[in-house]
Amino acid sequence: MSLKTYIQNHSVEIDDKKMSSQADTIFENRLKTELHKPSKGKLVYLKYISIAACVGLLITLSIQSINYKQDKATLMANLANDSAGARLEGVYHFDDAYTKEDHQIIEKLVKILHNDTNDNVKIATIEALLKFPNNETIRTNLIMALGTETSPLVQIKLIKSLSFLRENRAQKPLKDIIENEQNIPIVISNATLAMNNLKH
Amino acid sequence: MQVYKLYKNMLYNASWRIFRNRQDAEDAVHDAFIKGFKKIHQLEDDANLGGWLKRITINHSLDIIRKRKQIWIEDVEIVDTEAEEVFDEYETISIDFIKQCVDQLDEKYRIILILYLFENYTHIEISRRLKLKESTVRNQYRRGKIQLLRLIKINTKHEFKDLHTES
Repeated sequence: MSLKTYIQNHSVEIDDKKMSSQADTIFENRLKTELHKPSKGKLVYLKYISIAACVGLLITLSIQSINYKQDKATLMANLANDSAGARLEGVYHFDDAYTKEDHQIIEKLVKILHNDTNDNVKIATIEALLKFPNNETIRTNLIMALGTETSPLVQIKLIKSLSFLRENRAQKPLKDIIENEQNIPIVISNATLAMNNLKH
Repeated sequence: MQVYKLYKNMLYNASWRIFRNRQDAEDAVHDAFIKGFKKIHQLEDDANLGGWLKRITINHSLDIIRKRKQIWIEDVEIVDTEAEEVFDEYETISIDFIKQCVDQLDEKYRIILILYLFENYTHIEISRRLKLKESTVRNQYRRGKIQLLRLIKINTKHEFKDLHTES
């Protein structure tokens, strides 16, 4: 029998030493502190992921910001265009794509509401402005437009919109429309209906 | 803690044979358990957990003594012409007696003999672990074994003499 075989055959007897009980307590404490805390490697890994995420977010926000600016510039250009078709396109795009209020665009749409020569553009503008029913500028200007508007189609759109908004301040211009005999009957009947709705 | 309680003494004995002191051996066992627990996902399902942890313990213990330069083995090839001594009377002596003789060996032989005879490492594994040439390991093992057999013979005679003097 070789020396190695002899030793291997007595492997059970070889291990005769025992760890101290103090070592068990020390190990238990080490386990709690070392295995239950995030490792340095993991922290570094998380750090890099966070940085990458922040950079990614910044790039995304920058791209979104650039896209928004470009889109807004095109929209404003369309709203200022001499062609009614281009203005309509601008109004429809605002209605479809913009979910947040933009002061500059709303201001431009309010100008269109009061001054545009094309009824279709005005009607589309009223519809687009109704996206933000809580905006006081929009509500006030719709009431003002009802007092000055002479086109029957636009008048009817304004009457229905202010009735929908339950805007009590619209009662004065509605009363004026009802009492003005120069307005066509369909406008007067719509105004009478809206007035009744607001009163009840 | 169950795994720790199950294997702690086996690992402690393996580490103690390398360090020959309680504190270093206990520290190495603790380090090895922590390492093992962190890498437990690397252990294959059918692998022997005890054996795997023991390897981690031994390798970690060797790394420590290598860093401390507690063993220094010259990495040169020596053509050993000395004939190997033969001793086959193991049945008449105890395993404890062999352990005592191993402890008396020169440090450069002792580690290699422990790894080969007790921990079942191959010469190639030892050479990789200690960063030595395989031929160096083989030569040192051969010389260490000769020294060990001489020690066993000398100590056996003393033991025999002491026994008869007492009686």
